[in-house]
Amino acid sequence: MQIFSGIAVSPGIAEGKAFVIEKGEVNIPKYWLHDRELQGELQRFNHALSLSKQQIQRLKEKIGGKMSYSQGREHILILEGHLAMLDDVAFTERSRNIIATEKINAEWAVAKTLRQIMELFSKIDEEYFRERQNDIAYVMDRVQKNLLGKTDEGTIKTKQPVVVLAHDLSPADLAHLPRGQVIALATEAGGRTSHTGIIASAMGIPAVVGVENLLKHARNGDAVLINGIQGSVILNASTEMAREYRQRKKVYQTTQSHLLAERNLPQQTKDLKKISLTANLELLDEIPFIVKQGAKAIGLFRSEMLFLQSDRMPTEEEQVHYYSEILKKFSPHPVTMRTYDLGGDKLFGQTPSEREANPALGVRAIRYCLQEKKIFRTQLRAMFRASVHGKLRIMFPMICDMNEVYEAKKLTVKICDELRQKKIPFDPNVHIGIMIETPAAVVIADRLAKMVDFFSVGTNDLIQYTLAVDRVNEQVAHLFNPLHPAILRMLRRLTKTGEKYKIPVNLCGEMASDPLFLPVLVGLGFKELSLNAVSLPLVKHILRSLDAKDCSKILKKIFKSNNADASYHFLRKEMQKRFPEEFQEQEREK
Amino acid sequence: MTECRKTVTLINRLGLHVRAATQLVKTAESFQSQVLIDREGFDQVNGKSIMSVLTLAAAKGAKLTFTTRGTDAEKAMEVLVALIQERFGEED
Repeated sequence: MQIFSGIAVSPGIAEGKAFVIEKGEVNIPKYWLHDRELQGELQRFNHALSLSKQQIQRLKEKIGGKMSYSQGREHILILEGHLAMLDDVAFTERSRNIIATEKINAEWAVAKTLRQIMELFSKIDEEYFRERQNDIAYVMDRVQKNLLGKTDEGTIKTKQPVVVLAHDLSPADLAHLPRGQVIALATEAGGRTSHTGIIASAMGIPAVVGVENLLKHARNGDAVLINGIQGSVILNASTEMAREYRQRKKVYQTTQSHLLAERNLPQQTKDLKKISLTANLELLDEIPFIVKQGAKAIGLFRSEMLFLQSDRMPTEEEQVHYYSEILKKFSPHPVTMRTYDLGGDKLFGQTPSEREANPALGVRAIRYCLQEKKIFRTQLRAMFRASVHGKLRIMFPMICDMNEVYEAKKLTVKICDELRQKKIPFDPNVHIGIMIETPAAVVIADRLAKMVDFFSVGTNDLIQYTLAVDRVNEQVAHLFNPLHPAILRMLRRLTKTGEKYKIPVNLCGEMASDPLFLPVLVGLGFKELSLNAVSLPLVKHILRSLDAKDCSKILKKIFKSNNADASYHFLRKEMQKRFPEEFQEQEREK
Repeated sequence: MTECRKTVTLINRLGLHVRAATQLVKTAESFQSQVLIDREGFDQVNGKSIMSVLTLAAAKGAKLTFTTRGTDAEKAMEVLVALIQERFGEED
């Protein structure tokens, strides 16, 4: 039995036989040719080339018609590059030359050409250009497959349901996965926002990405267990483990059907305290999944994510298009858009002018936007222009200072004036809020409250800045605890400030996605929580079973504690008492 | 047979990445003339071959010397230089 861990990108649990897609590995036949065979061989090569071009062309059209504009456009540009490679004389002429002079078959000649080109690329220092080897290998692999008469469509031919394991799944691979036969996906490459996750969610099957060394150990036909909730992949599980997974799968499926049955029930506690559960959004393609999970509104749209894969700054028109699409999908419910949280290493294809020693404390988010006013203006204008299509809320990230709010608001007023003058329609009642994610903002919350329509607490950064803990640093990650008395006092101070100044205080950190903390957040008086769509059904289920008075009691005890770790265990135990199934399950995992 | 030679600096944000290289190669191919590109420290490459152009690993700020040779050499040079100076249509 081998256990791997990766990033869970589509929830669910699956058990099945492995179908391994080897990385561009085709068995290449090698043979010599007679002189009289050369002409035919060259024709065979030409034919494979034109077939490859047709296939990419078709794929381009398919993507253009199927995917959302932003994602599709990137793929189309990549595919155009691939088409140019198929036309490249450095490839075509060289291969033809090798066939004719060395008198060898086309597959062998292509492999030789590829090796020569790869050698050139592997010497390149700059990562981006060196990595283009992958594009070239991908293109040549297609030519090889066409020479061998293998097509993409035939990649997976199986009657049994399979779990597809691959290094990476290209848009073409994903487009060709036979629906119904593939029950789960796991890849070595990919991150949280990879296509694999989005498409798996859309197909309703679990997926785990970023699983290191998976293909080194996996063989076709291996028994595989995939846990798309925790992000684990298990090869050839022990009977005991397999039994446990089957059990877990049953629990998941029953809870899932229970949970989804609760989709349209009100979001409230047992004693009818309303808490609105909204979803976090990054990419347009996620919207169907988010809606399926029962979210009515968006509490955090990370606006920069939509364009980060692109190599340039999006135009105002493009932004108006996307923002309108999102607003329309959720209208009349609100969509809270966070203005660009850029800076540090997160930039639109730009190279940072100066590398900052400490990006978390550098030019990012609102600081970046106020420095790059043109970019900020364009985004705000686009947001206001889109505002007629639904209920928009705008919020500014990383606020530390009243002047930042003043400057940003001044700009919005100016933009509204311009739009009015030009008779461009917009919603004049757009709510403007700020993210509370620095200790400074908490301390001056009473003053900030007078300037804005709402607060949204970003607990990830707030905890990091307050406890001086980098969550990614393994040495100190255990100190990252939302139940630290300092954090709880801050959160209470914020909800009290909100009550006093009559503005809503929402929460959109990861704390909201973990049902364990729900009694604390309910007890503190948060009225709106924004979470990952994956967690939404479970959090809603727990919410509907909690009693607000009971939550206050739990919170009171935690407030008295001097020890964050002890509080954590106490909370766990309390939740286990109330929800033995949901919380035991996780405990076993750890 | 005319021959032109000119050195230009890449000013678009990403330099000759795949998209820009594709455009450059397509443009070069539309001319009958030969298009050669030199970059210091690299072997001379054929401007009509995308893979060769990519091996120049030319990021923003890279200086490239173009040589065009053929009946439409002047026109080719003019169009190629304009493409680079217009940042390959990227918006900055």
